[in-house]
Amino acid sequence: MSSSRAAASSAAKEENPELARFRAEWLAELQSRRAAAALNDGKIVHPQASTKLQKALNVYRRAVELEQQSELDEALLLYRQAFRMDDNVDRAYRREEMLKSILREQQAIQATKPAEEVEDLAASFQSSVTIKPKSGQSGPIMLSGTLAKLVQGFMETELNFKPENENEPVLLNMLPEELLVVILGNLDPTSIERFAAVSKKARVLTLDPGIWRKLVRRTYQPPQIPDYESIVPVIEGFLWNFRRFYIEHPRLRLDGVYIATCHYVRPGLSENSWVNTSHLITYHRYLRFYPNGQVLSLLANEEHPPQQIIPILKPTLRMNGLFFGQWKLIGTTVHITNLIDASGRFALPVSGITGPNPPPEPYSSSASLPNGEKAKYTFLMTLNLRSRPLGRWNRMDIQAYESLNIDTGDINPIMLKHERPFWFSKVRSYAH
Amino acid sequence: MVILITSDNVKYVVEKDVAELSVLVKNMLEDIGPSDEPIPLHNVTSTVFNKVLEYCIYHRNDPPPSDDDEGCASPLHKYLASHICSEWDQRFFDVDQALLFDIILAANYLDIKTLLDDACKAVAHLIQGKSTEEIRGIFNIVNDFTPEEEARVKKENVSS
Repeated sequence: MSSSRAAASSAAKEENPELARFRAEWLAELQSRRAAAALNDGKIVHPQASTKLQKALNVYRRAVELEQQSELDEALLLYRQAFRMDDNVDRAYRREEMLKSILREQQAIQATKPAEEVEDLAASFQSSVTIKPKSGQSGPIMLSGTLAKLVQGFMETELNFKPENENEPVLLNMLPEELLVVILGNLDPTSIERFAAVSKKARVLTLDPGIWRKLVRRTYQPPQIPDYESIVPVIEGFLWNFRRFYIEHPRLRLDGVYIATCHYVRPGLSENSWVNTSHLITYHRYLRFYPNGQVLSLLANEEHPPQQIIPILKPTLRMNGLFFGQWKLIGTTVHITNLIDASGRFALPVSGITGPNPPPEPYSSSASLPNGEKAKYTFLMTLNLRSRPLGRWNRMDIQAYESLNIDTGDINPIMLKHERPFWFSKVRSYAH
Repeated sequence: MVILITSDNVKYVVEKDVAELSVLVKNMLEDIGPSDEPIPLHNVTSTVFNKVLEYCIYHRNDPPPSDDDEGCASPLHKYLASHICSEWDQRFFDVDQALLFDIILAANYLDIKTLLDDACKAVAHLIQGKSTEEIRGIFNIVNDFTPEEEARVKKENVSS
């Protein structure tokens, strides 16, 4: 599927010299920006780090890249090589990543602008690789699969909303399609898709690429993606069908909470040897993600059931088991870093969290804390994001959970025995 | 003062700053220069124009909208924009569908971006969060899919 897509898009490029030129310009832009980014990266590297460690780090970094591309054998070889060069390369790597992520966060504001470029780029590609439908749509429609055939059939006739009650008109027919599309552009994806199922005309209207392009651009911003450059080829792979991209490209849901319900059995004290008592203990893990890169992680026992937790799970909350961290999504891997105790016992770093969007809640400072004691550890969590069914991105599994000693930089894995997958629940009050 | 005449020949004398919220009127005024000539609004009836005028007078001192409401608007701006629907606006748009759609058409013709955007949001508000069947009911739309088509549309749909 993807190879045929790629083939189709490259064919389209060959046919169109203007597109090829545009692409060349765009690549040049990309390279100059990468060069600038590389310069920035250079500044982060610890000055005290030895060149030997530096070399090991470079090898390690390549291994990570290969692993992300599923080139596991080669990745393994490089990992081994890196460890031979320096035992501590993994720690050094994580530290570096952490520093980088913090730095990136500070730069995130500047990153909001390239979104327009994606848009321009999209518009440029779109004009040449898509087919104009017969009925005067506001933009070309890109379709694939069974929906394409279905809609093709609808578009052969002039489409109108037909009345249910034939004595009354469908007033919506007063509006031209370009204005109907403006209206639909104000809806969330669920409502758009529900409207789509209303009638033939509704189905055709809701495929308008402008609607989905806007959704894609709004949704796929860091930390949902590493950077804008990385999604352009993916969108291209979908032949600028923004709807399919929106459905199929991983994104963390910000309009609710991911909850894992975990159980374990604890042997109880029995009054005599004839009876064995055991208790089934239930606890919940919560993860709530914010668009600015903040994440709230909470581990709560049975005393605090979800219906009690969900309304109060905000950055203003302080309770045992609550941690604040930062998240980013790379492919389907959710990286949560800098998870720091937010029980109220320790001073929290005064909000270092700045992002492309204003925080939804005021991030409370640590001014009122009784003592200035600082937490000794932060935690890292790596999860795998999945979607069942397609387009929901509603399941996560913990892949790794680690503690980081802030003073020494040591990272140790934490054993998790009873973990269950996280499932997404939409929360109306979280919608923004 | 600017004199405007609606399609049903009703004459309005409107203050210049209010009239110029319509880009169409503004451009016309620039084209004809200083003159007392009335400006005809061919596509707007007085019923609809009353509403348009009410909106323009209420919002006359609003900051002008940016040309691009999506791309370069600051995050804060976007955040505010989604919450900007005031109580007054809610009441203003609480009209029957025919008038609401007429307002949209008039705002589009007169080129009053904020009114167009707000009115489109008001229609979106009717749809948002409703089920497919509810939407059909609200707009009196019949389900014109064959059962086979409907099954395929449902299969392709992604709700979240």
